[in-house]
Order: sequence, then C-alpha cells, then structure tokens
Amino acid sequence: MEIGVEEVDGGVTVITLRGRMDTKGAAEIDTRFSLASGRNKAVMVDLTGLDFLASMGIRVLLTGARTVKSNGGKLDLFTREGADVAKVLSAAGVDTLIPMFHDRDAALAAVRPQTAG
Amino acid sequence: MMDAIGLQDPVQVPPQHFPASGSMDSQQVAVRSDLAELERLCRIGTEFGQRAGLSDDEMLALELSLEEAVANIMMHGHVPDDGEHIVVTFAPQARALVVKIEDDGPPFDPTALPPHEAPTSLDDASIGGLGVKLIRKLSAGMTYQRVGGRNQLTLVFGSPSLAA
Repeated sequence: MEIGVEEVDGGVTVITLRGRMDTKGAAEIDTRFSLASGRNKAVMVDLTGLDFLASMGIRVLLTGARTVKSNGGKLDLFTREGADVAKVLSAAGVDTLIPMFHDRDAALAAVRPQTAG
Repeated sequence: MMDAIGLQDPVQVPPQHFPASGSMDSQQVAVRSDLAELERLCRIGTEFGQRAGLSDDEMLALELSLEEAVANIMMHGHVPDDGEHIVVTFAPQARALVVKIEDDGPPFDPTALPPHEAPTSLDDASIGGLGVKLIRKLSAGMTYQRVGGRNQLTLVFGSPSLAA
C-alpha cells in the first residue's frame, strides 16, 4: 500500500493512505505513519483512497491519534460516506474515538491551528 | 471472472480448487502461514460470496472476517511457515456462505475470548482483540471446535435461516 505526507495551507499535515490497509499493508506503512503523526500537531488522514481496512490498520490509526493527542494536537479522518472503510471504522467503534468527516474541507478545518489575532 | 482469482499469484491454487461456474460444491484452499497469502484468500472468498448471493455488507463482513481470523493464526497461532498448515473450506449455500478455517497449531478458541469492551476514550482504547470483535460483530455465526488435533473455526455469512 502507499502513504503520502504533505503539508497544506494553514499548517495542516495531510496523510494520504491508498490501497489495502490489511495486516500486511498496515505493517508496510506503520513506521512512516508513526513518524508523520509524531512530528505534527494538526493531522488530517485521508482514507478515501483505501480499498480495504482491517484491525491492524485501525491499530495504526488509533496509535497515531493517541500520539498526536498526547502532543497537544488534533488528528481526524476523512472518509467517503457509506464506503466500506467508514463502515469498518464504525463497527470497530473508532468513529466515537477519532473525529470522522465525509467532507474534505470540514476535516481540514477541524484540525487547523487557530491563527493568532 | 474465474480467471481473476489468484492465477497471477506466486502461489497458485490448483485448477481443481475451482468448481465450475454456478456449482454449489464446497471447496478447500490451502494457505501458507504468510501474510502475503491473505489478499489472495480474500479474493477467493469474495468469489464464493458472490456465488452465494451475499449482499454488499455481507461481502464486507466476509472479507474482513477472513482477513482477521487467518491473520490471527499466522501471527499468533504458532503454525509452521514451511507448508500449507492452514486450510480454508468455502461451502456456499442458498443466500449464505459457510467458511471453515482449520489449522494445526496449538489449541486456540477465539469464541472463548471475553467480549471486547467498547472503548470510551482514545486513551482507554485497547487495541488487542479488535479483530475477533469485528468477526463476532459482523458474521452471522462463529463456532469453534478442536478436532483431531486441529483448530476448526466455522464462520457463517449471509442469511442461512432463509436457506431452503
């Protein structure tokens, strides 16, 4: 599977995941995901390119969210409404632990740092 | 559609593992203890799910449960990785698919695990046991037997009660 990390306007880091985040896929991107979530305080994870999500993938997301939170930051998820990935996150109860949005702008706005003045 | 299954993979399922289109015969698929096998197994399972007429949500339940159950065996089941020690049998029925997963590792009964508590906060969220929780939640049935020195986990997808 593939992972992309980019900073977008307004100081938000977008982590884009593509492919099958199954047991094998999660292990492939685990380190890069941990690094990206450990270094940034405003993180939006774009899951719209994922074909499949299994519990090891959920584990990566939960661990990342916990790291960002412990650094005083915010992490949220962007999924397509009604997609299998969104259904799996709901079945696992993750949607109550990590904010999940079906709108890209809303997902970005929810984690964007407040600018002073 | 049959050609789409596994034929380009390094480990190929012998042709006799593929029933004629429309057949409701059960079929066995042998799997090496290697995470790279899971995608192939899920694709084969999906083919059987379609044949059994499962809905989209039931197909998702099938694919995810197969992944979770067999990945558990590969990672924690102490199954040697030198051969095909995991055997998955797909038994399509009218509007249902019964999946039997067997391995020759030490006894392990996932149905005996305590129910996974729904976490209320990120800090409390326990990460272990999530796979079994998902299988329990999404499948229509989950039973375990130890038979002849082998673990035998049987999962049901679809609406077996509607079957004739």
